[in-house]
Amino acid sequence: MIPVTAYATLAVALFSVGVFGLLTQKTTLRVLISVELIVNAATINFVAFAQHHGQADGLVFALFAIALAAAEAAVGLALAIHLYRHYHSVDLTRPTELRW
Amino acid sequence: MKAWNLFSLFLALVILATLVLAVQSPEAWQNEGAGDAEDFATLADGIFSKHVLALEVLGVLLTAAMIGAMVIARPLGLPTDRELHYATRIDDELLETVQQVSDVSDDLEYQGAPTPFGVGAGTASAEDPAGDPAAPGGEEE
Repeated sequence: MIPVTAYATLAVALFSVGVFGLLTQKTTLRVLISVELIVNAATINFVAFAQHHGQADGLVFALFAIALAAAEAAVGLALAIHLYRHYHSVDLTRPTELRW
Repeated sequence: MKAWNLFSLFLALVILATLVLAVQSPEAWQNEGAGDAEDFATLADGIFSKHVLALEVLGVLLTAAMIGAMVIARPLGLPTDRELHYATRIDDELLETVQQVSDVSDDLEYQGAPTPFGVGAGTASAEDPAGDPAAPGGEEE
């Protein structure tokens, strides 16, 4: 039986990697992947603690988190496409004004 | 940007260390339960009875997110491949029509009849400056 601390440590490591990627990456897709890492870290925590406490509420919220991550990825990719059509680049340092 | 990368790395390491210390501390595992969370019936019961409002809100949110993504990613008004294809076809048809009119005009010009481009003068030459006798006004008596 794998101890819950192992799951929690894995979630913490994923979260840290996601935060680092979110702060340092300049490409749109890499930022979206970093956000997905953060959300998946939280999902792993939900599942791990649901198993630890013996309750299904954590599993329910894990399913909700997966669905929300999918919606967020769809909107993020649509924004990336729209950004590329205007600036012909996926570099997040290019758009510097709110209007063009 | 190097300074920013170093700061981001430091921040990520601080978060990692804080959370690892919190996870490894014995106080975090005091409330260890003995329930069964592996039963799918329990999971389904939780979703459709206790958290049904969150489920419905999630459905509406997903629908709104999909519609929003489609609106954001729609084309900017540039001609699509389909429109370019039909535009090319229309140009070909127009070209064919113009060619047909030109052929008819050539025929009329040969016969000396007035054409949309002027009175037929295509048969006039150095040997016969008066043109075709059959042409109207082509020969003076």
